[in-house]
Amino acid sequence: MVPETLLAPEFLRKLETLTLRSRRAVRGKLRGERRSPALGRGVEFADYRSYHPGDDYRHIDWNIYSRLNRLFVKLFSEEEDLYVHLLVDASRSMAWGVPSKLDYAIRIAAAIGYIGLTNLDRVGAVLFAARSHEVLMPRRGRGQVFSLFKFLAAARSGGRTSDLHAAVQHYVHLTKRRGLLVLISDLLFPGGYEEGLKLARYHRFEPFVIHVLSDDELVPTVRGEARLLDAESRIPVEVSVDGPALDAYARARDAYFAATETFCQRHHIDYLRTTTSIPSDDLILRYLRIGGLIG
Amino acid sequence: MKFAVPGAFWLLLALPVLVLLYLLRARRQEVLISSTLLWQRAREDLLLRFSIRRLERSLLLVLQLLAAGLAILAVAQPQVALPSPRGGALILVVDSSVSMQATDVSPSRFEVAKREARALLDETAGPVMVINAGRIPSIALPFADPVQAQQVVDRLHPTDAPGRLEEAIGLAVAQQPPQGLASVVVFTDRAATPRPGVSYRIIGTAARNLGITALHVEPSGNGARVTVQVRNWGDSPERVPIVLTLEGRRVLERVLSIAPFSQVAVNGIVAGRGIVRAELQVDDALAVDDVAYGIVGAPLPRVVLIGEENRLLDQALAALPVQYVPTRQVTPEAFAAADVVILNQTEPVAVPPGNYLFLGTTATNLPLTSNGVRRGPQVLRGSPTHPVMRYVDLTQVQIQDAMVLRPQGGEVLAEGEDPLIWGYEGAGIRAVVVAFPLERTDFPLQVAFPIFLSNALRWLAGTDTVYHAGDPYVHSARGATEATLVDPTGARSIVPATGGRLVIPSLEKVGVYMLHGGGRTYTFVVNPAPEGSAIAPVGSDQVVARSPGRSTRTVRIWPVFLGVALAMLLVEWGVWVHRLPRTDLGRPRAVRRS
Repeated sequence: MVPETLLAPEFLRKLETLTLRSRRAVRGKLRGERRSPALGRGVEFADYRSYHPGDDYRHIDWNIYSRLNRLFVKLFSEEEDLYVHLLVDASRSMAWGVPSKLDYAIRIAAAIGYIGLTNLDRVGAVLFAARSHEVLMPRRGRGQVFSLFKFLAAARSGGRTSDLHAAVQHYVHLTKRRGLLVLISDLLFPGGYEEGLKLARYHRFEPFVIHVLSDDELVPTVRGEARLLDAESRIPVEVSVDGPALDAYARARDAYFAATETFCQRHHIDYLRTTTSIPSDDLILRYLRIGGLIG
Repeated sequence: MKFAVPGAFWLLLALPVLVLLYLLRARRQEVLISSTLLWQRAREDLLLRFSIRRLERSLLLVLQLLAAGLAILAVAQPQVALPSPRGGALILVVDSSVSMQATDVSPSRFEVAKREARALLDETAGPVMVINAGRIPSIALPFADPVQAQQVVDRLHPTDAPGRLEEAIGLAVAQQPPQGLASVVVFTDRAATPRPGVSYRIIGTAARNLGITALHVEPSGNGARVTVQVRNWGDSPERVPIVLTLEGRRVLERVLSIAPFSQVAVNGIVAGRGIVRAELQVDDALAVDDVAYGIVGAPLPRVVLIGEENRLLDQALAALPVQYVPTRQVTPEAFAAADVVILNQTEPVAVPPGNYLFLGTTATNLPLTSNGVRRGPQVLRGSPTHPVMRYVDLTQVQIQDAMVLRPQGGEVLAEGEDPLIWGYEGAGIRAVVVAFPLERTDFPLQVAFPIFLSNALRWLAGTDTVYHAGDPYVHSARGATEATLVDPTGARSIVPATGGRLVIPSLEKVGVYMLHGGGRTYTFVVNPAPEGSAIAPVGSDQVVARSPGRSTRTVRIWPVFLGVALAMLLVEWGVWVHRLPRTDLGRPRAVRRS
């Protein structure tokens, strides 16, 4: 996929009117358009404190001094930039679906990244598969859009077994700035996704999970006597795919979804599940708004 | 059940193979999927339900085996034999004789027979023939579809004549249907001789009936003596009034006591002329035989004698009930005026159509030649069954000489070395030729002579005025090409002349007839035939002789098996499809943290 065709120009124009939402104040590096936990030179009043030598005279509230005969300075919220970390699963299982789950995930990541960069947020990206991780460190400004798209467009699915925990662990050591962590994955990790997300929460990231599945993962198309091979682990499962087997699969699938939703709620993680048959444009412009990621 | 292709059952060996394959299971196809995570969890679930799954799989296997078995049965082309006549050819024989008019079953035996025939036709699909078993059995409908047969049955009506059921059944059995064999069903009140493939529906319950079996009229003075015979066909004694009328005028009334299965006669003198009618005033099952007719003072046949006079002949003719007109001129008028022309030793001439008694002469247009004279012939043989020779004994007759006749047709009524008396009927001519002149024999002196003369004139004139129902009527056309018949109901019909004769094959209605033709009118009456009054049903529905081979038809039922096999497959497929999960997870699902 070439960067020019990643997202259509008309679609990009629609994205320019959107912003990424963070549920809590985040601490950035430069002044931006986000409310920072640090109090500084913003325009939004935050609090008072006693005057200390060296404080800017301009922030002394003379009205209070006239009434209390004590010096107080006004504190304002600092507006800083938001760190957006895009974690895209590029494992072998992401190659399934029409379009493939990986292509679908890259389009979503590109759109979120574009929204962030156009709103002066810092956007970084990670393509993780097995133990190999490709990292694009967070960067700021509309000028970084092309580099982000180029990075994402170069993604290829691969690796034997993907490991979310290893990917998160690797990434937290690369960046000290926390922020919004958008994980786009099918969550079909042989070792599970729970530890990886817990680690992200531990490091005070704000995870948002976009669970991408293909239709044949919801309702398998295979029938009859089959020896199913896992694309990543190569572990075979022999099964007679008939009505009862499909019923059992449906029960397992529903239980898996329910467990995932429960886990995310318990750990204050936003969660959105979709399939590749939903147009990516609809997902971004409609469902990610509903999910609270985009405003 | 039979199978057209029994070899197809070898295919049943495939069923164990099917089961074996099912047990061994087909080789699993290797499928690469994104993740087996969910399948591993599903497999654990399946292991918990292993016994239930095995039962479900068994149901599918049973359905598949049933479908395969039924398909193999269909390939073997099973056939079943179903009872005829529903699908095979059917011949309906409907008895239309006089006894079927009996009303012991409502409305009458004949109507019940038609109703039952129609009911049978409703169940019939194959070709149907309808035979009307009347006095002259006939095919009312050749093999046709049952709808046409219904219409023909509706048009059938009974006659006043006794039927000929045996002949009708013989006619039915001789028929060859378009395909296969036909079964014959006879609707009658009396079963005939049992035959293979013929079954009977016997209709009727009662035997009580009184009927007039004969009515004789003999000239007596200015009137006539009328004798009526009445028979009780029932098994209980009866008292019945009888009334005689002459042209509507009551002339005699009696009450008759008649023992079971016996008959009595009543007679009386009737003065005047006209139609005499006898009627039994009784309410029995059959009304047709309660009435009979006679003619009092019927016109006598006119006899013209041409040729040599003979005193003995004149005396004999004068004694007979004929109008005797002697003449010597052979003129067309003389021929036209006579019912019978006697030619005594005239020169052979060609005679026009008519009735002739040739005495010692012949005619040139008869199929007969005369070659010389034989001296002293003797009568060696006669034909006593012929009406002309009935009660005529010629053994004592002496003949001096006679013509040597060489007939080419006709019937020799008496002969010695050569034919001596010859009868002929054809080409409009009815003739009796006596090969010897009366002057050269003592025949006129014999008792046989007036008997012979009476028989010959009666046969030649055709002067019968009383017939029984079912009798044929034959009368000389006298040169006419056709005649008009007025039957007892007043209906008129044209009777064409055939070979100089007016022929009515069967007189089917009881009553008074009139025949207008050749400028003359002939009146005659038809009375019920005695045998038609015996209405007691004979036989029962159990009188059925049906050969197994003719009473069934073969029906192929392989389409049924094939259809059921397909239905089994559909059910199997439905069971499979019904168990497929229906998932609607196409919309994204979002969970927002609280």
